[in-house]
Amino acid sequence: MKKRRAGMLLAAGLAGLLMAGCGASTEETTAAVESTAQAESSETTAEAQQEETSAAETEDGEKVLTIAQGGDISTFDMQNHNNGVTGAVLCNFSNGLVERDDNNDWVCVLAESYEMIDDETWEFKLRDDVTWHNGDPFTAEDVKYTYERAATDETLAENHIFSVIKEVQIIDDYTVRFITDGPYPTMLSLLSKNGSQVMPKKYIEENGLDYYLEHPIGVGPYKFKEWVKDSQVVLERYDDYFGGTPYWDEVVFRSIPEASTRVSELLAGNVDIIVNVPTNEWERIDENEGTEMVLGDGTRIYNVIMKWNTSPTQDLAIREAVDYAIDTESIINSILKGAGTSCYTRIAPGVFGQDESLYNIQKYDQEKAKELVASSGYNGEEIEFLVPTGRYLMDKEVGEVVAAMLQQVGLNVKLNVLEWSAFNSKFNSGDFNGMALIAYGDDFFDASYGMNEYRTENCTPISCYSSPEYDALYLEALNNMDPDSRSQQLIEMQQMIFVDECVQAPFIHLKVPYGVNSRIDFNSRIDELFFVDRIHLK
Amino acid sequence: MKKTKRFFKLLFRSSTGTAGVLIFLLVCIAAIFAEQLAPYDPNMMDLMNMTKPPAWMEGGSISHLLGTDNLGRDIFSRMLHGARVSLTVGFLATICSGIVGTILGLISGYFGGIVDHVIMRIADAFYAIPGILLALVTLMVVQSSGIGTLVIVIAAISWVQYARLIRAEVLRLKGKEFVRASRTIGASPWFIISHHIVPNVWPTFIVVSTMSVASSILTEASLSFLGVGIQSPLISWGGMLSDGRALLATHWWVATFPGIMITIAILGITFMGNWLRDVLDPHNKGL
Amino acid sequence: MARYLAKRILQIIPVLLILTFIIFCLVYVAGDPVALMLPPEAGTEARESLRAALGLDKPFHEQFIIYITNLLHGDFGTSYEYNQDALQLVLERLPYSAQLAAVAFVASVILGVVLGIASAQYKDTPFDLLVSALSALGQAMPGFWVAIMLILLFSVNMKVLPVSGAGGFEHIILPATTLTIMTAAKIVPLIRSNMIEVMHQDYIRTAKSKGLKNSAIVFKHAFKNVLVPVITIVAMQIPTLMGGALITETIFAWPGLGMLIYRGVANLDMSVVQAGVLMVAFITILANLISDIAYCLIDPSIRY
Repeated sequence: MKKRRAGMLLAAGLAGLLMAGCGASTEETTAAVESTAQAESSETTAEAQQEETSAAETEDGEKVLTIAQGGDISTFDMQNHNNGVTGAVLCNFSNGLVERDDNNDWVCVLAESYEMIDDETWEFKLRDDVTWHNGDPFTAEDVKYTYERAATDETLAENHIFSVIKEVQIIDDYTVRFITDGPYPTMLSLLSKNGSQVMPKKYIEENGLDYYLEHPIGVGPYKFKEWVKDSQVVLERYDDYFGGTPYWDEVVFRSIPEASTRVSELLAGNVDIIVNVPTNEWERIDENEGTEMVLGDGTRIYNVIMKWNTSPTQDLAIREAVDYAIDTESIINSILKGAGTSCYTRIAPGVFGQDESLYNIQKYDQEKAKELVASSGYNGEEIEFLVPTGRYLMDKEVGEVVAAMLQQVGLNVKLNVLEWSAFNSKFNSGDFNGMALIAYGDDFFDASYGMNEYRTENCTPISCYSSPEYDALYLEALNNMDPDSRSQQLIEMQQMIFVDECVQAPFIHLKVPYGVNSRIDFNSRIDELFFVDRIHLK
Repeated sequence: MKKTKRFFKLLFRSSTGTAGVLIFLLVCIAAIFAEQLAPYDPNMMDLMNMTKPPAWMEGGSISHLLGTDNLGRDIFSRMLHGARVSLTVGFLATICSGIVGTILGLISGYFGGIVDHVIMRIADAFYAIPGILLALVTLMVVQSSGIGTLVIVIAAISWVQYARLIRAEVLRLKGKEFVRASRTIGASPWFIISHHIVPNVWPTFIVVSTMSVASSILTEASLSFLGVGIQSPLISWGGMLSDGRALLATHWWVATFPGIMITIAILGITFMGNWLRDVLDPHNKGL
Repeated sequence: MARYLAKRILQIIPVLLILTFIIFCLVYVAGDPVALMLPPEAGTEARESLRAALGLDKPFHEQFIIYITNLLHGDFGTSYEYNQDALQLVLERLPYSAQLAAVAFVASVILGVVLGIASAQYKDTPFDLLVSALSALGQAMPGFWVAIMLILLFSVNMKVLPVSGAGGFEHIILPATTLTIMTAAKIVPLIRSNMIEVMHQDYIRTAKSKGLKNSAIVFKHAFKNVLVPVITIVAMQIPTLMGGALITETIFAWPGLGMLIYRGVANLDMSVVQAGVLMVAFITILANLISDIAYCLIDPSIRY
């Protein structure tokens, strides 16, 4: 029953070339949506004819999909969260102007077409057949409300990234123009990222935001039914969805923090998809009849963060030694059970501007690492190594092994394992002396997002890397509207940070393990979200 | 000599008492001589030998008697070293809370009045929050996973029972004639407390302490489950059990052996405590 | 009685004050939640602006005074995580905790009282030894281990009970069983020893010497007298069941108070932690008060 799929990744760089899109193929898109809808309905009948009952169906033949995540969603305020768990629910509840399909390519959703008028202006034509769950029409007003709120309200968690939008102009009811602060090549990445779905202007202004948060409405295929906090969110089919009748009658997102409980639920047949399966459970899930593991792609990359301004990690030789000391292959083959790839940049494949020459190569060379340590002025000072637990795939174990490997090359590493929240505040305050393990993700899919950290103006107590040359290059890339040269610039930046200066030591790109009921045809997405209408019964 | 003889006579009369003391001694020996007894460095990883079953199972080998964990570390060695940390946490937390609780209980009970009120209201406040909750919140906010912090936090949640019980005992004793007599002849409070009260609250103290050692070990295990207990490279039984819980269904031995150790050790300490209570309890002089 | 009650109720005020101070100190030490509200990727500038927008830069005493004033107005603060009134969040969870606690409480009291009295009655028989051994075992096993074992046994292997989540009564069975095992194990030996103590009292000996039937002695005389310590013992379990069940709640994904507080502290969402801990403390104080009143009603001869 072993079946592991890897989602196909198209070079996102190609998509970056499209400065205008979807327009010509509007009809095709609609046709495609319709044909999918037809296929779905015929599938539904076929399914109904089969007598066999499954977990995905309740007694009265309703199609219910149950997904168990490790935590609860935090809010229905689309732009006030920054977590995948919330995003995975909300992307079914409301839509964005553009979204990414399962191959990570842009598709128009609420937009009918888009066009770049000039370097600072993007125009979107909107669909005119979209309605909110309460029946109100969706118009340009909603778009203006959503994104201007996101850009100006500083209390919102996503404000820092949306603040590049200067203004949203309404041309007519179904046409809007986004004016950005300077040339902004990554507009589509911004509008399709997790947390960019639209919010209902009229509804919120009439009833207040608090009322909305308790009785939310969206434009997506599934509407709100119930939210029992820390237990489950239930969404039900929205029949008037503009993309055709949604596939499931009901979708349940359960919050189950304990990994072994999630696995038990999957094995007992009560849930269809579970996330974050610890590696040692994979075999059990694969061997169990009716369940299987799916290893999907993601963007998380394990990274040893080294403090830039304190010794001994101040020393380039020490930082370089870390790169050579970690035996990535043996970590991947043992603890991670193959679910990873050696990777020496923090930019994952599928993200625009990734330096492929740093991916899937081997740097491990214990002798060289030892030499580097010996050649440096290091004389055994203690180096603290902060490691989180309960956050990333096998985080604690990876941290323990990395610490052991660093000790082997002569670094006096002292492990300090902390529960995630404690880790996070200690990490962010820079209150540690040495190194930390973190796995950065990216839901923006453009290297400029991850590489932002190394600019002088983003100097933190952790890694205060500062190079005028780098800053200049970053700004150039940030506003460069030519994808080819921009990609070159981003690659050059990664070379500077990860090869020349070894500011940090990324080492393994992680796969994302899902446990799936075999009745479900599941394709994982690189952004780790669940667009449930693309998940079907077999 | 006579006392020792009487002790053993009383001990061997109770089978659970004997068992309890024996278990307790064995665990102490394991903890003290962990370095000599352990066949491996408890933190030595061997990624080629991950999750090897115990020696008597198929695939197991005599080189790893109780098997290895998910990083290829020897479980037997880790358990011996774990005994050290678990017992240290248990004893230190008990000593700290015992000292603080007993002193406050003595003061509160003996002097009464406003001092008594203040101490008892603070005790009420601590008592009103479930210990595990207070410990969790404190450990999360102080962001530390060392033995010292853990001991202080566990002591902070368990001093109240000492204070209350000792205070009640002092109140009872205060009414007794020998204390009253002492007072009338003008003995100082310090003299009365040290000569009349302390020797008489001693049994209560011992009984509460054995219970406290057991509950501290369990509290540490619970805190490990919540991610704020003893962390690597230090090893505790609670931490081993908590780390191994994800492997319970597939590699049972990783979590089961430390689990059994916790249970046996606590049973031993509890039996010892029960026996001590029976021996020391004035109602049960005849036992 | 009325005077005693008035005194008891007045005592609650300083306790609550001390409590709020302890909790406030923890909140203060916890620092600001900004670090957790933004992803690690976010820059310093973003952090500073969010921090300023939330206004988290006042000195300790000022914050404490504001905090107490707000509490007196019924304002427990707003959850950063849920963007919602913290007290309201706590109140939403209360029914779940109460359901679970009630089932576990009733089950463990019945089990505890029956086994405790029976083993005192049959002191030093094999039955007594068995009960003692089982309760010692129940106390010696970490709760999460019991919970995981119950799931593996009843839900995964036998498939007779749901694994986790809140729903019908069948969802309560496993978490309540876990809590019952731990709670009953704690109260059985206490009730047993209290019962033995009562049986040693003079009036019981008198009753025995008068030739009364054993069962009559146990139920008419001894039980009434053992009731006072029993009430104290079981009342002590309520806070643990209401707020201290966070591990059981986490494993069974039961959306109770304990889990709310756990998640709250994990997100440094301290308003929720404050409100939750205060609620649990309040319930404890209330339970103690009720048990004190119950003493007076059962045994009017008790004077304080």
